[in-house]
Amino acid sequence: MERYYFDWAASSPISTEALQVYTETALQHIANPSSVHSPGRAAGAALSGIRSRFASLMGVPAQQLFFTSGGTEANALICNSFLMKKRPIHLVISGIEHPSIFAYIQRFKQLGHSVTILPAPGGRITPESVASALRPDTALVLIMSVNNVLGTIQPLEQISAVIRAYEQRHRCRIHLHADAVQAFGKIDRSHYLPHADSISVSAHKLQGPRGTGLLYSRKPFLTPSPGGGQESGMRPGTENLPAIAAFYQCSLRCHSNLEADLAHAQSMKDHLIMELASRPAIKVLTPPQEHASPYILGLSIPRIPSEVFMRVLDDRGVSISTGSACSSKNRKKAQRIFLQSGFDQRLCDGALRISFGPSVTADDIAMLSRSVIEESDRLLKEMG
Amino acid sequence: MAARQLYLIRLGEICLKGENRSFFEKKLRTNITYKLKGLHPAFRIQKGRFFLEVDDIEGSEARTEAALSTTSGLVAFSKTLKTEKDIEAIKEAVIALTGPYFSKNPQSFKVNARRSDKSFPLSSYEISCETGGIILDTFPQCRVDVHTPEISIYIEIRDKAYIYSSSNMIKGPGGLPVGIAGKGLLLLSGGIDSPVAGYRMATRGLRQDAIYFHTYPYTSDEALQKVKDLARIIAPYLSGLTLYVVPFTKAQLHINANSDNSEHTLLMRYCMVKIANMVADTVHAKTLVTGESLSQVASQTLESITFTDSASAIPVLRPLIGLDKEDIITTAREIGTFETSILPFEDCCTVFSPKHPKVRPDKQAMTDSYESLKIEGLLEEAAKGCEVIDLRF
Repeated sequence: MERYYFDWAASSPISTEALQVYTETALQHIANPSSVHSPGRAAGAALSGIRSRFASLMGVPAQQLFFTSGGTEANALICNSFLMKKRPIHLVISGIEHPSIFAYIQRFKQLGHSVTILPAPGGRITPESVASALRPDTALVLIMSVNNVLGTIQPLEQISAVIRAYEQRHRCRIHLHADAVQAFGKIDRSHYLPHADSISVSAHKLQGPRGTGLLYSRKPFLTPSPGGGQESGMRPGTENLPAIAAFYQCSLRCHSNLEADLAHAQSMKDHLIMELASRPAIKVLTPPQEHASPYILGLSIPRIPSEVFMRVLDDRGVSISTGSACSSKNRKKAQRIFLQSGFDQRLCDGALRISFGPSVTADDIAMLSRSVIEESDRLLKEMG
Repeated sequence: MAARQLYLIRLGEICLKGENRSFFEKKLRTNITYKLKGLHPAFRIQKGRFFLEVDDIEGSEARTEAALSTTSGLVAFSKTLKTEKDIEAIKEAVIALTGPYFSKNPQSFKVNARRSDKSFPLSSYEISCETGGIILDTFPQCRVDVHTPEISIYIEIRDKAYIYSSSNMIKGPGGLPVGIAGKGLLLLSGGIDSPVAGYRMATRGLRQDAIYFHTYPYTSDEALQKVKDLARIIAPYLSGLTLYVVPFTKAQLHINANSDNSEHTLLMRYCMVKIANMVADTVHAKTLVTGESLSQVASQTLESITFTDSASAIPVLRPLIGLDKEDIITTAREIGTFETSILPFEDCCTVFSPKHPKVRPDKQAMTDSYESLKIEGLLEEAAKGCEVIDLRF
């Protein structure tokens, strides 16, 4: 059975080019980049070179880039840094953050910090809600750039303006961290990079290898774990040079083709939405083009539990993601992003996520829309 | 010939039996023999004591203990040492048996010696004094307490000297041996209750097969896998079983499309009992077993049970009917099913569960609803289409 993969937001297939760079680098640089013998120095130089190229690709200073094991660790470095603050702080967090950030709320509260969670009507945080949440003791604001389930782009420019104005008025310092895992290499960086104090990125969402990512932080942060001094002492552990090299290769490719890929993906997504519009039972949850990534589409078939629909499509060779799990125990947790976005329970129960990459073809989309339409028709008829 | 290990087995309820006691003992021996195939189990009943001998090879102790601790009909068992009738050999065996325990838990003890062979030169009292002395010498922190000892050590002088201790005693499920009460069919779901129900009935001597209703794609294959795992966990208690997986989707959808929403669960359960009866007939099961507990959910009220019972031509046994949920959970933990039961792959619920189920249904009205479904053909098709998973020993 031929398989059609529409879960790129979870993980994308590694590209041949990235794999080749990985292999070549692994074979060429056998030594630890921190070692002082010549193979070690060569590996160190290679790492330094990649860091510089990453910096110029992003337009940021190289010393503000820290390679990590992925987006989760990059997010954790920032969260842990603020967890270590001696004085209680206030933090503002969007209700639609990825679990790698949202799960820190409990820990912040346990350590005596206070937290304001912002709702996101229709999947978007409003600058007004950020403005009303800020307090003189607010030290950290956590708002992702592109939501991982709905694909909504957050208005970080306006949010940043609100924060900077507040800082000036109250003579305080507020760190704005943006999880850019679904944004980097996928939407124009002007949406997020100039506005956030730090961003997190993951390679395997860009057809790079798993287990590598980066944190860019223009502001210093406290390192939660001491170690071997790698990454300027901020992230100990031997650097994964082959993966970092492959990560750069796919980042460069994404940024070089960004506009053409965006236009292609948008036309594919528009086509999919148009096809699905023939069935009133299928509800598109992601807002229109200007506020969403072209690579992610959130939708719902309210009467069909998302888990059931995912299973049925899987049996046809089509992989999509559920917006939630059917287990009642974890239901609220799994549906958090939809609930925080203001969707009703019926929409949440049938919520699905379709995500793809720049290589998606019209045939793929035709196959997907045909499968979704046929299976939803069949199930809705079956269920009476 | 391989060295042999000896176990003393304590029978509980079997001892209360009269003339038919040997029938129960024979069944117990058969069940243990099945589980210990390859270890050449041999049984000996000596003056009211039930001894098991198995080959002493690598892994045999763990295997024997796992087998005996899941065999209903036995209350407890303990590894027993057998020596020559020589006081020095007996003293050595006492230390070998109790040493590992007393070195970690120096507690009070009592030695109970019995001398059936009166030709043995020491009296029972003298045997107790000699062996108690060597324990005190070896583990000075232990002390003798003849009234309320924490550990009791038993020495019996017969054809040989037999030594066992309460410190080595392991509990069995108790009850009666599986198979003495005929065969039933357990309605196994992925929840906490039904595996416990199966276990309970096994301790009453009921051999059981199990039946599960699979509603793919509305229930996941993970849910089915969970049920298979649960069946594997309870298999030793049930002395093996066959699991029948019924393809229930067509019937479920038919119920859904042709009846009132508030009646879905009741009609579904009625149909399940109907199918279970068909399967029971094929596999020669004479009763159904369910994990229902009175008033736990809407389909477990007296009125609901009255209706679902009426689908069955054979008795429906509900061993948990009067138990508190906490008691059921305690047993589930003891038999090792709890952690699997609470895995979050439960029935996919939302499609088929009514928001407002009937709590006190009228039996006649429900029977009329069932009749109007005209579903018999689908139920027969489902019963015939079972996937069969063999978990027998």
